[in-house]
Amino acid sequence: MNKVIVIAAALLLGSGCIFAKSSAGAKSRQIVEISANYTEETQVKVCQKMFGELVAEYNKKNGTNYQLQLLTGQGMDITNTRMSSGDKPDLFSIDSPSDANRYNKDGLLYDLSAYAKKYGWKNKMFPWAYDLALANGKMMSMPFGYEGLLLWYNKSAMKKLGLNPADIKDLASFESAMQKAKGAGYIPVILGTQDWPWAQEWYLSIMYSYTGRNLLRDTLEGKTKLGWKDPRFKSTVELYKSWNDKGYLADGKSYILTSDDAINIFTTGKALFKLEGTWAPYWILPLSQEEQDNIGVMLHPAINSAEKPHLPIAIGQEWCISAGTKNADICAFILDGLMQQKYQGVFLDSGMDVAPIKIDDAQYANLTPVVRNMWKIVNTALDNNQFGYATYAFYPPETRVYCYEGIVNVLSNKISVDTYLSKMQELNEKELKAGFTPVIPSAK
Amino acid sequence: MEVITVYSHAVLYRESHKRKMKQNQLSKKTYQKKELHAAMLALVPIFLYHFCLVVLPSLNSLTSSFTNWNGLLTKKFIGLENYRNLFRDTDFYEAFFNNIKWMLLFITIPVICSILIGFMLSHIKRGRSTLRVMYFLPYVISAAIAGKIFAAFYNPYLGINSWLKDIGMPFLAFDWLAPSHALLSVAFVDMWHWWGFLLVIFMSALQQIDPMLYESAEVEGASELQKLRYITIPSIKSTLVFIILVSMVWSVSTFDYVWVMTKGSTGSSILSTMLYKNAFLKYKAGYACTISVFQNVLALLIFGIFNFVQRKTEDN
Repeated sequence: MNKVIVIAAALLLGSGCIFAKSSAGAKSRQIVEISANYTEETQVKVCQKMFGELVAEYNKKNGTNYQLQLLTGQGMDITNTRMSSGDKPDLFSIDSPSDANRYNKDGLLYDLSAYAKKYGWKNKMFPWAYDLALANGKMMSMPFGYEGLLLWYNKSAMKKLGLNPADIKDLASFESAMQKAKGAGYIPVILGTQDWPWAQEWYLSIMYSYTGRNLLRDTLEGKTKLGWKDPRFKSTVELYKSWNDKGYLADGKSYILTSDDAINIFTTGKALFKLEGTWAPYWILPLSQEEQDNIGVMLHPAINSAEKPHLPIAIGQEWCISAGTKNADICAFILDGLMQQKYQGVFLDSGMDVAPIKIDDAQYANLTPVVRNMWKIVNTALDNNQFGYATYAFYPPETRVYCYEGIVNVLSNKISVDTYLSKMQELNEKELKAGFTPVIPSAK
Repeated sequence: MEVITVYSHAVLYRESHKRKMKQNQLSKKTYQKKELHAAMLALVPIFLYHFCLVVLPSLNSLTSSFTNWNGLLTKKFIGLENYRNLFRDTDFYEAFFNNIKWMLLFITIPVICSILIGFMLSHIKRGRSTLRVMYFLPYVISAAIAGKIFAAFYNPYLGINSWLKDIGMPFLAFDWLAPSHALLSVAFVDMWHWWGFLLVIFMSALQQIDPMLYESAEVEGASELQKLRYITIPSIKSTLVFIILVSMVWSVSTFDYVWVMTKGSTGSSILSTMLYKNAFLKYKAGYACTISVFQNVLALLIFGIFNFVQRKTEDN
């Protein structure tokens, strides 16, 4: 009997420890939970400081006593799981407008329209960014961070090969440069997709966008009869395959090299070009000044006469407020705070996503020359509406996954180009029928 | 009178003894009952934990496999459509056969290596512990770290290939993670990680074997191979069966090394990576649940067959 009492008591205590929630101080303070996908230590510290300042500012203005609870490293897989559970954060970031669309369809997002009016977001943000945030005329999320896909080059390799980046603007000059690089023992264009298959779609984003932006947009929206089976897409894939077969793309080994391999090969001067997005500063900034100065950046040259060089963009993330939150006011205040000019400089210095607003030149002052140049290219392209569409921001999810997985089968001669493109079209049609709504801004 | 008294006493004593025996039996039963209750109470927390974190989510997966769940809130009953699509999906067959290949590799190479090396180590007196620790060390390295290290080794320009070129054997250098053999290259890393653990288990089993058997065999003139075949393996049969069963079941759900090194890209796709991609990249969580149900059924099937064969063998 005593044994039973002792065990029962132990169980009760144990259950109490497992299931007890601390209620101390719950009445005196409120928690605002923010979920973000930053993992790099510097960026996490920036988040902590910045959100902390904004929460403190709100408390001071409104006489509240909010405490910040920041969760970082929250990728889409974790966020999806949390948002389908009862434990939702107040303010959270997700990857793309398509994700925001999905969340909105399930009624998971707070309507920000009233706050957009209160804080004047329409006038602060780039028009294309504001348009992306709208769903049936309501602002349901805030696009944040715009990324673009660029071609980085090794300056000393360029010099040794007698090439001038300003002259590499079209297909002929680009192929000539790659051929020259290959002949001299360089890897013309390096990319590594073994551990990060999504790197394959960086280049495909460029290739498909450069095929024709309007064509791509109409294909994704299901407005064309041929869709992905259009001969223009076939020419593009055949061109891409020919580069792979000639060894221009990572020596034909892009799907064998890891992303770290690609960075190492480029920074040690073994490759002429590296395909990477505007997040490249995360591996550029740790390099020595001399190494940084040896890196240049440019838009990818045109691959046909239909499109000039432009910047395939993606949205870095979408900030959203949970539909059922009781803390919408402070969350909206924080979102507005993120658009302050003073934070843009901090974001730029840390390689984080910037607000989709016109950023003062002064914020770029502390940047290393190559990164400053990168932003000049990006801003010029955006100012002129010379942007295209990255796969991961605008394509339907299954089509997108097949896009970068299927291409490896084409490159390794397992399937034909026609089979690949037919499958792309089949998936695109299927997803549109299943209710996927493309959210694609129009570009000039 | 005295006889009656003695008889009465005897009867009384007998009755009293009977009562005592009965009481003892009752006490014993009561005691056993109490012990049983205490044991069941002690099991309640772990049962609750298991029920909440394993049984309920598994049942949820099963029910979700009959829906078009997108990973968020959209969930509509679609019957067996997911299962029909699964068996029509070419990606599924590629992933399934890759799991079978993985299973065949893991029930042979690391098992054979660990038995042979364990057998040899058991004959060594000096340095046995040191060697055992050395062979076990890979097991304590996390999959994420080991996978990254080996991915660097597999670099076609550096790593192993560079070393092979330096020692004049460039013909052995090739693209280790090319789609045609990426699965084998990744499996090698997992085997390197796993076999040391098997070695430790087999060595514990080997230590249970009566050394007299080996001495007798030696007297009879048995070779090392004969000792291994006729003494060692039969003696560790139950451990061997357990390890093979566990290797087969875990092969169905393996994920970590493949994901870290190749993200389940072409050539190395397995059921778990296919599950992950459908759940979190394609937003087809219902379909992903179908894959997980298939994995569970496969694992149960393997377990069931093993049980059946074992029982039949014991009966014979």
